[in-house]
Amino acid sequence: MPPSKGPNPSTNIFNVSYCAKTPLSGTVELTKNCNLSCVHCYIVSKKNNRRELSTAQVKKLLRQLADEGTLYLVLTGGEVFLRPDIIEICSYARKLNFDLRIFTNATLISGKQIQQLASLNISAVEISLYGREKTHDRITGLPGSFNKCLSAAKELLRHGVPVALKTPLMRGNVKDYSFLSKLAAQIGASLKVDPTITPAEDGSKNILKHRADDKMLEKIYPKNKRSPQIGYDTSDLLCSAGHNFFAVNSKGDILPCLQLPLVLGNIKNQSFKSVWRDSAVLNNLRGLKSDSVKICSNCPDAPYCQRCPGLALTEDGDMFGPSSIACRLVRIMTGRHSS
Amino acid sequence: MEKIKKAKHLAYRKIGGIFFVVDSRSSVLHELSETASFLWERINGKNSEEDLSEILSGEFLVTPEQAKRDVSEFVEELKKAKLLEIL
Repeated sequence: MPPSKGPNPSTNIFNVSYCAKTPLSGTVELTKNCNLSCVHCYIVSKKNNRRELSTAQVKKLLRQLADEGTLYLVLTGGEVFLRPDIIEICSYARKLNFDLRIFTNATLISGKQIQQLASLNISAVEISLYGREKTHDRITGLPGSFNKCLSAAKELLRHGVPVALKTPLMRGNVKDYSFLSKLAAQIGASLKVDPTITPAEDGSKNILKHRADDKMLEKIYPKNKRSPQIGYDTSDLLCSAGHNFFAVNSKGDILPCLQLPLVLGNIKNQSFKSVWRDSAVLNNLRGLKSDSVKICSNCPDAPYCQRCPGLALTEDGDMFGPSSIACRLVRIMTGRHSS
Repeated sequence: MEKIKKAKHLAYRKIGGIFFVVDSRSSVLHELSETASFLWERINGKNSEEDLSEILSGEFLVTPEQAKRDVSEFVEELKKAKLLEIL
């Protein structure tokens, strides 16, 4: 009686949850407050935000998510370690058997909290680290943040907590990519990089000026090295947001994704289950077919593209239209002329 | 008899009637069969291999001997995957 039923459990769990509309993966934003002022951050107001979810409301939400079938849970901010109840929330999430990841800038984690996290067997702490000391501190606006961040990353690893360093690739740090790559390997962390900067949550596009230009990115992503997505289907142009992926923001609004600002309901006065199952907006989203994305479904680069409907909406004004950043990135990564 | 417990470093959820189990140290995902899922729900630190065999033969049309073999194989596989602790 083998424990494994199929050859690829990851594909199976995705397909089962997608078809059954099970909210398999989600992000819960615990706060918008942050002690840093990163130049590229999409959060507009990072100080003194009130009306955020209480400990009891977060716990109630987690119970509802576990009941609905959520396995993969990300806790994010703002900076989650500004919440005095962060370890209590993590501990509760692990008691409910979530696969738990925490996104943090790692400047506020105490030695005691590192030991507590180690005992909780979380899957990873993902830490924003933007480059060398000078680069990092310039981007965060806080002198000393690099050293605090790196010290916490090393301590977490020393206690057996998996760590991923991650950064957007921007004008201000793209030259530090090889430094980050070597640093991650040296300390035993993984590295995640993303060339995407998103518009601010108030719709402002001012921060997009920090995006790296084509020449910078071509050095990181050599042309013709990108393979088409295996098993690509044009429905991939619509992503899994609202099908088996969700987000809850710090006010309790339920969204298909933090990048797709369609408010479906609020957990302060509705159950997650009722919103997830009955939201008219969500059911409309789920009913969309690939031909809703008219231009892209005929694009020869579609199998290589990682179009985000949220970015198409917030940056280009139409979630069913092309995403200008996706068009640009697919052109860089494939060396093909994107239509 | 030794009692069987789920390992501490796991995340798991029942989806579509079967359990998916993640090893949080490696992020490796395991998918259990229907019968394995039935047994997984009954691994609670109190049941032994013998207890699980009795529960299995009481629930399904299998002989006690077959249930014992099935549970033994199940426990060995999960021990090999480091999903269990034997108390």
